[in-house]
Amino acid sequence: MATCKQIRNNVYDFLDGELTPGQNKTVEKHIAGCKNCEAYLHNSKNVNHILELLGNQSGKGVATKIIPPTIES
Amino acid sequence: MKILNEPNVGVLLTSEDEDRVDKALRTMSKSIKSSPFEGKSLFQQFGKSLPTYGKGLAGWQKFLRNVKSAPETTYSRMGQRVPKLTQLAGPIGTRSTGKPSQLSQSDAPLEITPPQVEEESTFSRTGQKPVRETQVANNIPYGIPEQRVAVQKPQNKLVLPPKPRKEVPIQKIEYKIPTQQEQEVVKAKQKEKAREIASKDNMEFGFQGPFDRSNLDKWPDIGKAYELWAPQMYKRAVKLLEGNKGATQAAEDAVAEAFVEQEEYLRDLKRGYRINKKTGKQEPVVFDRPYDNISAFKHALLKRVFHRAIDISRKLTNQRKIGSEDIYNDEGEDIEIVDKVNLPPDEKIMNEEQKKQLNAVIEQLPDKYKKVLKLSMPGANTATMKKFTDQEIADQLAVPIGTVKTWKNKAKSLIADKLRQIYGNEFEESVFEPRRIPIDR
Repeated sequence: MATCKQIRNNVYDFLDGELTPGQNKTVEKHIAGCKNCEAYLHNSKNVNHILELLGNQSGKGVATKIIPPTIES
Repeated sequence: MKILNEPNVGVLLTSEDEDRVDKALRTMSKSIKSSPFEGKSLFQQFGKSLPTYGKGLAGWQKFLRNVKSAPETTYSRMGQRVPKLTQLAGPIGTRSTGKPSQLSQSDAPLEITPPQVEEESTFSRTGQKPVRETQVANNIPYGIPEQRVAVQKPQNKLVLPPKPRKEVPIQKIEYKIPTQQEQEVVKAKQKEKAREIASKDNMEFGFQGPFDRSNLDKWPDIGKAYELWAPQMYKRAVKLLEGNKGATQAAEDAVAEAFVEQEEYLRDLKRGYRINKKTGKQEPVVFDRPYDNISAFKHALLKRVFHRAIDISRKLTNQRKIGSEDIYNDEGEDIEIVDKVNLPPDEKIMNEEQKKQLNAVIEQLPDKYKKVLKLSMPGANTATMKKFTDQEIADQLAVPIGTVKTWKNKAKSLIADKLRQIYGNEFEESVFEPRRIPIDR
């Protein structure tokens, strides 16, 4: 049995599709039975969505701003 | 004359042989009803393995040869040869019972026939032969067991002398029942210890009781008491809750709850009434038993801690029975109850204010999280206008991929927390239609 913490640590990987099929199944199983984790998944999905929106909307300007000057890219 | 249906068996059977085979097979398996030579082949009826003769044609060949070579022997259910009763009995009347055997009543002649032993014949899988060669050679009648002579084997093995046993001295523990004087001494010591602790506490608070309604102002300050006594009480509570899931966290909660309760109690004492939570009405506070000294006060606090701890442990056990969601996870950390927040689902709805808010939230994050998050946002890579992959970020920051992932996830979860603080459930109700995003991606 996976604990809530384990599930939450892997939520973003789950959303990005980086988990194995077995892990995906355990996450889905847990979320079907745990309302809190379902809400957590929901929120993190929204966060992903928001961040994508922010990145896309702000376009070039923000992107150049966002890159911290310390990193050599 | 008949050759078995299977071409490779290669054993000729006369009609007499057939009868014997029929008999033998019938003893070996009781399920046979029709003759084994009618209709189906022997293989089909018995499968490819015979009991004790082994698999395949070789087993069958052995079996058939045996039947042919010693026609009068009977077969056990497992296919082993069974010598006849007359052969087993030996000379009549020499049984251990002393009574004459049944055979002696009928005047059956003794049939002692040495069996014809073929060189190749083996009667069981282990190669056991019914008659030993020495017996045949010495004309010993069949059925009389050869006397066994104990042969001393050459002792080549090195015989070690037996290990000397370790003699463990038995310690006799004598329990003395303490006399009255000794008991008094122990009690006095305990009292002294209690007095020491009490005096220490008194020194810290500067006031020695008794604590009653008249000197409420001089009662120990709860904040100070928490600093001094909470660790001890926490230890006691942990001991009480040992074995429960999330015991440490539960103990912490119990201590905190107990101190809060005591504070509320003191407040109620000062103002003279308490508010009933159910009815919402004022009730007078009864305080009949003032604490004699500071240790009594401490004891009262400890009692509260215990009660709260027991409450929590009971809750935990009930939860386990019901199988509902855990309050604490395996590591004893408190799992927050997450409010579901619906954040802007569409691009149109993302207005300037929200953008500012979001940017502000991102700026507040710790540096390492901020870096990773910004690099993983779309548009971070100015050349392709896409986001950097985890590997690229790891290369840039010179950290392993795993840490990049954890930092990113941590940043996102922090943002989620902040957004929940900002928007709460209002956001869901007022601005946007509540919508549930299905689990599948």
